[in-house]
Amino acid sequence: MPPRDELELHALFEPDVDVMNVRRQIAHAGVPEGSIHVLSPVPLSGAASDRIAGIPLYVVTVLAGLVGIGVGLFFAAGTAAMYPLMTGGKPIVAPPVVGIVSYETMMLVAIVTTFLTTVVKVRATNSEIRFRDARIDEGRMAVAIRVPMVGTIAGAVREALEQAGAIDVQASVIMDEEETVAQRVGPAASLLLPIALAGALVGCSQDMQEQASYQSQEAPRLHSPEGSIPRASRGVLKARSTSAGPSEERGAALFRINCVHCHGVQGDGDGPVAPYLKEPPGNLKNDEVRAMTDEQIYGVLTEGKDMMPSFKGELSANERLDLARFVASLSRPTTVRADGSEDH
Amino acid sequence: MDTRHAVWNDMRGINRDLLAPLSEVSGRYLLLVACLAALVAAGAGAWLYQIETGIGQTNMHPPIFWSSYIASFVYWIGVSHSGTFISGVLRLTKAEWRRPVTRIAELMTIISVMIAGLCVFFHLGRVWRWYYLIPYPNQREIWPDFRSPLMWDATAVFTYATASTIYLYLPLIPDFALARDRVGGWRKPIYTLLSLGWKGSQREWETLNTAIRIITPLIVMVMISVHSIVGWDFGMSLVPGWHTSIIAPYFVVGAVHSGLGMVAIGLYVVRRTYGWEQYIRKEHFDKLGKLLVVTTLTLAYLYFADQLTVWYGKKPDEMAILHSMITGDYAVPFWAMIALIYIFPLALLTNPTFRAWPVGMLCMGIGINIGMYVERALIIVPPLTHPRLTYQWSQYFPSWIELTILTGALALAVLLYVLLSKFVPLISIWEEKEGRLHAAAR
Repeated sequence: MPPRDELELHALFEPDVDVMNVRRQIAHAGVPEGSIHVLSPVPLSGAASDRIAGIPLYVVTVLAGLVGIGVGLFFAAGTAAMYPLMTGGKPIVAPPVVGIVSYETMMLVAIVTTFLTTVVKVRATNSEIRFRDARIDEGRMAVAIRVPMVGTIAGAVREALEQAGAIDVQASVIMDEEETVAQRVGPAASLLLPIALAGALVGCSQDMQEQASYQSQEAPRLHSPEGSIPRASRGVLKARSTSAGPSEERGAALFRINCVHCHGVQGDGDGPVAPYLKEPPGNLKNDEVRAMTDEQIYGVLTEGKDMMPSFKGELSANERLDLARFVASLSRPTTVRADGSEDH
Repeated sequence: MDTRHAVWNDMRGINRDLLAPLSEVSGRYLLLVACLAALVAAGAGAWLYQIETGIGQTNMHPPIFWSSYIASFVYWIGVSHSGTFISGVLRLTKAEWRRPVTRIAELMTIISVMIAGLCVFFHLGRVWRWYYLIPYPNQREIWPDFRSPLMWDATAVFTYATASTIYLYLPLIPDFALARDRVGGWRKPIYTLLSLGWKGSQREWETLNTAIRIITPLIVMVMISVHSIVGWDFGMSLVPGWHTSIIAPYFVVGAVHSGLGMVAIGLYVVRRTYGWEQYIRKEHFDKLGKLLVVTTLTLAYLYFADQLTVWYGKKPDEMAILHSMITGDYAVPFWAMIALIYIFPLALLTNPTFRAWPVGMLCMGIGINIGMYVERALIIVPPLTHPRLTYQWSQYFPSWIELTILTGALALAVLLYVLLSKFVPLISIWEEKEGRLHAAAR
């Protein structure tokens, strides 16, 4: 492509240059304001900064936020409208929930859109300038101006720049930008993104029936299906005491499961449901229990007593024996408590 | 105080100092990377073993369905508040001292959010079904239950991760341009791509500053919502000890507390490693210490208000949890936590000499983070081991598989930080220059 008939002049200045004065002088030479770019290593405050053309960024943010609220409403309220399932007697979506989801989508869309708009604006601005001098970041200022190659304006601007105290003035003919890395990578990235998304979607099976589970109309099986996660490999109770025998430890575990809710952790008859019973549960440390043998306690567990039901159906004979030994041990000076700690 | 002219002349030196870490690779650095990579490999191996043999490798069991992985998720999300709080809130309040601190903290945010996300995956029994977490309808066209706080959590964490990546990247654009012109090799094309052709014209600066000004309050609002929703994961359930209205603000303040502690660690390590005493000054530790006093007092107030209500109500199911922490199975971690996050910070950080002592602030940061991790575990474990009916009462301590995976995750966080320090300038160079010019003008 033949070179366009434009010239970019760039001038480097000491940091204490009066930027406004330089701009005035260049404008006086016949260059429109919009073609003058002041480059600096930090943002300049006040009059030196440029106004940005186009829709203000905050308007973009507000509009995107409103769209984000719409996305949230579509997701949450739309779900309720399209799938009017009642779970637990309630619709799947409630107004406060729609609010929470919409709040997050509002923020997401607002922030992402603001960011993308910023990227576009920055790219649009700096594509007008070809000049980049690493000395700017070392504490210099620069001015870049685009002028027509024909005519006297270029010479007038160069003169104005030198008069304003430029320490280095260069000129370059505007040609098509060399292919940047971004442009080389751009097409590849735009291809990769849909491929990655498509790959992600392929991976997302919707079919829950793929996982190991009972299938519809299948006869009940005694064992868990192959591939499901076992959970019986671990005991629930981890008794730390070694003083009590294994039988008592097993009894403590059974006590916690079957007895504590009425008789309490210590067997004092103060379990969490005790206040709601017509007849208070027995204190397992009282004289009556203390006087009983393991076998007598076993008998009570097997047949029940007063309000207490029989545990013949719930516990095997061995389990009842373990439990009876533990109950008997509650009255002794040192015993394993139902929560696993030692009681002295 | 520097004059403006001296600051302009110093800019070359600032570039040299702050870009130096990008090109220096010492033997110690490589050794550190190797050690961290070994720990990460151990964690990855343990995770593979857990995936292969099932979630039963953890010590979770009914009714303890959440445990160390979820505690770590909550902890890492909390740490991620460091960047947003330091960067966002201090930018909003135009606090000049934020300048050398923001980037260090924002990098922590990104890495912590990633690690937090990873902890959720550790917790999945069948991690190959991870996409059930994404809101899309299953084969019966039933969408996920939007009433579940876990659903809100997925939305909020995704928003936060995206927003904090943007918030890290925006102020990095001019610094990437700086690196593009000065660092060669394989990084140059990446810097060129990421710097968006930045030239430093006033229109670019104005656009960038406007974008940062707009996004800052938004990301602070997202930050508050994220940890509130993490709190509601617990608060919306009826589990005794979780079902309290104070849990959302308590989580947010706790997150900022641990985040600030982590920033203290980061500041010390970066300052010490690169000899940046003239950039990260004692003044910065002092300011950070003052903020920590505020978070300590606020957190203590919320915690006391919550526990006082529990104690006064004397509901048996809640009292069982309180007793297990004060005098029961969890008394040792509980009192250690009280000392590390409340007593030591209050006793020491109210002393100006201590606040200006970088080593002291490093120890304080480590202590607060250990304390806050224990605090997260104590929120989850005691209520789950003490359900309403005592027949389910139980105990929990993580298995070696859980501990290995979580150690690997911690090592991964440090490794990512160490690797990123060779790519991203750890102090925002243009903001540092701008700050010095502002200081000279005053």
